[in-house]
Amino acid sequence: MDPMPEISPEWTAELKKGSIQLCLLALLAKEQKYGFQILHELRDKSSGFFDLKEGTLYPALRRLEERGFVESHWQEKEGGTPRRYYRLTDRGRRALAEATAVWDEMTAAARRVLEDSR
Amino acid sequence: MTTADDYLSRVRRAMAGMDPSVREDILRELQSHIAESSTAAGGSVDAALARLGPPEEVGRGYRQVYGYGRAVKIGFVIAGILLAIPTVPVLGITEEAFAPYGLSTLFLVALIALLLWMSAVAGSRVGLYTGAAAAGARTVAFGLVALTQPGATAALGGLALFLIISVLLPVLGWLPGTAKKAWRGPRVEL
Repeated sequence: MDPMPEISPEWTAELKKGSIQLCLLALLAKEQKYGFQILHELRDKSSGFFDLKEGTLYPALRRLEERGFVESHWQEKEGGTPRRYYRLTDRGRRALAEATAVWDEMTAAARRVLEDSR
Repeated sequence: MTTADDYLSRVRRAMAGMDPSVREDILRELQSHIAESSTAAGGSVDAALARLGPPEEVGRGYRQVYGYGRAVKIGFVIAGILLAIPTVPVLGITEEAFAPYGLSTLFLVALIALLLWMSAVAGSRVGLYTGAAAAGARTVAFGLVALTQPGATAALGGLALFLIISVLLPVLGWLPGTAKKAWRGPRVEL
């Protein structure tokens, strides 16, 4: 039997929660995407680490929209279901750049500190 | 009714009071997702719905983003104004012998209850506006009575009580929403 993990699941959950918005902006950096596509890419690119409950993705996208970081529009597809596409706004692009810089700085700093313990 | 319809109507119910156009747009997007997701799951709508999670939770997630719609907020303010007018004792909406000041106190309790509750569910700003509107409505009602019925002017003590309650109303409308926010702590987001 596996021993009980020492760290709390809340810690891992908080880390994920803190980085999910950055990941969503990053996924939209190159092209517009729709919800189901974002879910898939998030799961695949993170090898399943960001396997969020699907019902939380959509409100998260709306929050980014309310924040002015993304904008969305409906696109009809011939013979298929219409899709709501999301794309970055200029503000979203600046936010992505700023948050990425913080992220890089943090991970690099943490790595240097952790290096000593290996 | 299909399971997808049932699911969506439960999400809709969880979003009650939100702007109707936003709500319908959200449901359309979820519908599109369910169609796409169930196709990917080999046609299983149940699997698609299970992956979305409980409909009430989904609706709550949206409500946290959007809050109550304009129509509901205006409704709150109007309810506050309507309740505020009969809180002025000198209006004499009933025979003194039947309920001297008693009925106006009842309305005041109802108004305060409304303010506290609304501030907690719809936020401190709506509460503050409603409290201010209620205070304004009381003042107008009081002024009208004082102007039209010269004999009905209140004693100094009554006037002080009137002013204190009027100032208190916006504060009571503002407090629960602010306290709730402070209790929860800041939302961590970009």
